[in-house]
Amino acid sequence: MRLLSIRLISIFMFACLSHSAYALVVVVGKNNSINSLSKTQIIDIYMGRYSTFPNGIVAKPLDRIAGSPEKQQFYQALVNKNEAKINAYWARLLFSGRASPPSNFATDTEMLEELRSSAQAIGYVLESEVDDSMKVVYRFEK
Amino acid sequence: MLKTLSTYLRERIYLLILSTFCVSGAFANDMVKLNGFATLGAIYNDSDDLGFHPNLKIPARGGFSFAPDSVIGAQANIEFNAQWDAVVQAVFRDKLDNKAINYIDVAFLRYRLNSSFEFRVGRMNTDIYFLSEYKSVGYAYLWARPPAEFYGKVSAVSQFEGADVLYKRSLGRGFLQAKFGYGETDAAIATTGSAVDIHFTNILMASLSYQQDEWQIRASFLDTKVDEFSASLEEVDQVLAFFPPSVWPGGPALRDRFDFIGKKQQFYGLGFQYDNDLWLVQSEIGFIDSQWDIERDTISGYISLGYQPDNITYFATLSAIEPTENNLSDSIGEISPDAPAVVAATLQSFRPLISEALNRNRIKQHTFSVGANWQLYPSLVAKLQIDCSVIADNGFALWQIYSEPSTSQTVNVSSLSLNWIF
Repeated sequence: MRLLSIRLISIFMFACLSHSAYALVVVVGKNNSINSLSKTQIIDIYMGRYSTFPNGIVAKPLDRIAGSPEKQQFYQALVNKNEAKINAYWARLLFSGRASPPSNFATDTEMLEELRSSAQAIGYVLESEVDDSMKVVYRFEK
Repeated sequence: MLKTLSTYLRERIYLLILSTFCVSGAFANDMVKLNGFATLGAIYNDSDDLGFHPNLKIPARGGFSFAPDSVIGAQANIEFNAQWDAVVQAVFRDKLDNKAINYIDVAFLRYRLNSSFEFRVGRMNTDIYFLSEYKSVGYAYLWARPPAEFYGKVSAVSQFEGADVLYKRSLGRGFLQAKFGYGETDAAIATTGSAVDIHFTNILMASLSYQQDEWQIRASFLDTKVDEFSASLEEVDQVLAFFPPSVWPGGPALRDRFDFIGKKQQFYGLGFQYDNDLWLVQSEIGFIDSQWDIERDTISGYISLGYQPDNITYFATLSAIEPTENNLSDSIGEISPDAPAVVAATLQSFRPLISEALNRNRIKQHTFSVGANWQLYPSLVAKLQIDCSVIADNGFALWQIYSEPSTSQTVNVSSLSLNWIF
């Protein structure tokens, strides 16, 4: 009976850790003065409404690789749109001359490197990818 | 003279913006982002009498053709610093206007005062309807092309040279944008016969849009005057010289109806869109108020429903346009009671010509479209669309007339296209 309880607790803890590890968070570089953002403020930056953080500093939003699970999960959670819709949305903004889409990278490593090194960068990463060089400014509700 | 100087100055401004782009590209490639778009589109128009064109700036075609919908465009975004940037967009497509400078759809400098205010100067798209700023980018919208009933007529003022200011701010859970612009534009536009050159001056435009979650609404207004028009009033003037007001008191009033100088043209538009990622509904309605009888008052609109279960979106659209006054008077006006009978008879014989001139630009039709939009790859979309247009008697001005139809017509246009962004 005790063995069964330990197993159940282990499975529950593993499930919690797994969920936490795969949860997406929005982060900025450690040197960025922003400490938190609302979901609306993240939509403003990622959907090209504003080109700056709320404090007026220019924001440089970064995207994950096209077609990656993280990118799909992020935009579904942010604006409830799939990647095809996001691509069409950005085609409209880009070719109307209103705004440029978030920066794309060939690999996640390059994206994470840019996130760590640029004070203007903002990105979305798995909670497990957060390290001391980043600051979590928003967590999506589970 | 002033017009020549104005044209010269405008062209110098574009060249300045273009050369700025070239210099920036040479010295700081990271400042410049290059992107492009293309559509390879084929149409089949089943009418022998009427030529099809997506809007009045594009030559009409019958039968099978790649010309009306195929387009390739390139855009450079040049960011000088956080406040200043420039955008140049060149679009190559079949068009009535053969000036090289008019392959530049957009060339503007922008100054961002703060997060809410942006100022632009140069050549810009006129932001008075949903697709106004990206109508050449087939990848960016659902249909094979914008519904001609709504977009065709206002395409004459789809770009302008001047300045505008954008105000934007978060409001409640949504986002508000207001834009005001002022400028002028030249256009070569199709008639049922050949093309005419027209110059719109004192263009004043305003638009307001609000987006919240799945909803977006917009309202727009445009006011302009025509100050140059390549079709002359010479024939009317010759008749007036021959029959002075002492014989034909109604003559000057009739001339005034056809004269374009100082006549206002106004456009009012309303639009809404709902998109919950599975269902899409978009509709716009527009009203053109014209003081010039040659350009009648019209009301136009469309409603489109899309169902997007996966990578394919199925859609159906109903669009329509008609004049708000069906029967403009074709009276030749007052004739002096002292005029000899032969003179009165001669003047009355002009009545069919007046009627023809008034009907030449009359548009009355509706179109039912069905189609599908496939996302084949992240940057490639294929579209198939079938349009069935029912055109009323004397309502053919969205088409080129190859042979005069004796009665109303039904025309089917089938379209297949591939649309890229790169």
